[in-house]
Amino acid sequence: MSMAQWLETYGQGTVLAAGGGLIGLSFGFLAQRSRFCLRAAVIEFWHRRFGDKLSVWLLAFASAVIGVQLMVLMGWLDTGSARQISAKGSISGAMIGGLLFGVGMVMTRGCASRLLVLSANGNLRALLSGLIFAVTAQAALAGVLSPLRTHISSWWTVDGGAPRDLLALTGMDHWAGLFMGGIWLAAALLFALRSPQRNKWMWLGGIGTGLSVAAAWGFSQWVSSESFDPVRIQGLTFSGPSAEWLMRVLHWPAPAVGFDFGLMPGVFIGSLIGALIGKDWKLEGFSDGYSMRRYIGGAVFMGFGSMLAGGCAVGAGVTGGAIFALTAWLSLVGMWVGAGLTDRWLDGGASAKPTSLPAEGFKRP
Amino acid sequence: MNLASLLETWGDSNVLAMAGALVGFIFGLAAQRTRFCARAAVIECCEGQAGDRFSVWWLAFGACLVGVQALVLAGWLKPSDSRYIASLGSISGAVLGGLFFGAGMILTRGCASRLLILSANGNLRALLSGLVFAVTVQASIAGWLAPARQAMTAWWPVNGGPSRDLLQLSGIGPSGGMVLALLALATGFYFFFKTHQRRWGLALGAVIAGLSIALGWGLTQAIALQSFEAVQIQSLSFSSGSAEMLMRALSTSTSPSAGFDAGLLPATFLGSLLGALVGGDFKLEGFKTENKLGHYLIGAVLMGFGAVLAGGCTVGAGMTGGSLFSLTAWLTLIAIWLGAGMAWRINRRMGWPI
Repeated sequence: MSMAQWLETYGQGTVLAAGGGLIGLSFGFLAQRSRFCLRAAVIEFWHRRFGDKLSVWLLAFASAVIGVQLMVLMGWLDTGSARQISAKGSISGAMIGGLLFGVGMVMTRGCASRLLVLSANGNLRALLSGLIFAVTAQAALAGVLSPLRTHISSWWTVDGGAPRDLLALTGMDHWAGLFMGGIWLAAALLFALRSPQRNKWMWLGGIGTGLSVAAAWGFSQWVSSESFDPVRIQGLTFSGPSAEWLMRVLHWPAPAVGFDFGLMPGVFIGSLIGALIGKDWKLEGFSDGYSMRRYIGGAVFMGFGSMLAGGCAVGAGVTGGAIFALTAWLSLVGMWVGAGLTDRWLDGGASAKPTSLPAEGFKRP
Repeated sequence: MNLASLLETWGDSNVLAMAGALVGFIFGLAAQRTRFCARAAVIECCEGQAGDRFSVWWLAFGACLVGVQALVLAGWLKPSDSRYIASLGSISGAVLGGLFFGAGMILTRGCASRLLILSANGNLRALLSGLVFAVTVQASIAGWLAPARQAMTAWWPVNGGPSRDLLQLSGIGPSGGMVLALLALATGFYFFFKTHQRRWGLALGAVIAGLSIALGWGLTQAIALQSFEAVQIQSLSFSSGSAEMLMRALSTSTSPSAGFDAGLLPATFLGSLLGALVGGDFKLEGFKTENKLGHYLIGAVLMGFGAVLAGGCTVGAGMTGGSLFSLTAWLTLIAIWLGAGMAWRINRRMGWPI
């Protein structure tokens, strides 16, 4: 059966949701197995310990860039119609949002996608932080925090189209984009081969996670080109979908079913399967009051920051980075800087010790 | 300046919100100072040593009954207009909801109003449980849990009007209600001074906490009489108010217009905060041991669903509705005690840490 027939039979929303569910399933499983985590990668980077976490993240990022740029070169994907490039954006929002997200990510010990993956492994801290993240994101999108968000975004805006496309800005074509992806991949391979704790999941998981992001772009473009109704092409992101899911549970009538509807449960189930296979499933809670304050504050920063920046660590960082959107790269840089500074101020570098697993309760430094 | 001109100047919703804020502030302050807590009262009863906390609760309950029945006798409050008596109710919902709520209240270490009061004292456990509670309440009102709630309420409905009014059902009328209320207050005082010798301040606090509910009824009834629009008479209730607050924070465009509940919750928080600062109780607290988070989450979900099913929390159904002698409110109150008692017994038997 072709895509046109599927759309005819099941309707566009269902097809999108099914695709989102499948891609989410693979992302969740691979991210769980490879411990894909921007926070851990950033901390390794700032402590100059270029180990497995950084390698996994770089592998994922490089394969997402290469996958997306290859699809563009083959003519399967038109990144110019993506929201991150075509719509009017905000430079101030991307920078401040990225910084806030980075700060929050270190405080909560995991970015938005990592919280979802960890919740499925029985981590109740991550589940609660995820709830606070979703509440804050929704409040920043359409609630009490949205005036503040629009105000900060209006400080320095950028028009959609070429001014938001890094490749167009620098006068390069998509071959150059592919080449840059190759450089990232070379760096990833260098670190990965020197990493002492490497295993097969690092390779499979890192590359597979990145390809899931590229697959999301390709799939939504495929649906969009076959469908008669307008379909927004998109990659993986977790801030918007978690806010949408919150409102779906809370309020009737629910928003229309689409890609994001399938994505969240897909990632959750994928991560759960990964945890069951790897025997990582364990119920965990908070250990003391200090860590709670930290988690609550971090989730609020992340929720607001992701809406300001237009995506979370995956949504802006990897998904937007792979199509070379200017604001996404600014957010990504903001996240690295914010996370690095917070790690230095808050933890004094304590979190870089290999012994301190995220499973442990956090003690006041 | 009288009420009519106040309504003229400020508008109904603002005056209602101010009334809610006044009542909430008084309740929050009094309840914080007296450590008013239905959960602790139930546990004391279960342990067979009703004393300290139970006497405070019972005295507040008695004061609330006397205050509200006095308003009714004076003609300043028409119980038949309130949603606890006028609208279609559900016996099955009241009983099941009360049982769920009671069990949840044991697990979260505090009922809905107590969670709000504790959050203002820096208790982060209570704050998080309160968030989960509000999310569940909203999901039960208009979200994914709503079909389950509607199915359970449909099992045994009861019509509004006299068949929901205990005083009319039993035929004792308003004066009989006053006699019962006075009896409750008298036993409340007796118990109180038997356990707390000469602690007049504490007794005053409990009485004020109870009377704030009567104040809420009186104020909204007065506004309803003066206003040209339809104003719902109501008093303290924390379940629907918290859901309304959540939706107001989440979505500006679809948020309900401000009313009594909009002022009530923030003011209760402030009142409790002031009480904590005056008494030196403010302390940031989180989870002590790891395994409790699951209990809190399950408890908050049970409590949220139960509150919507029963039409109120311990304060909203138990005291606010109970003081009008609404049939469903009394059933809920009894079910909350039973549910909490059973949950406490089971927990003790199993040796789970709470």
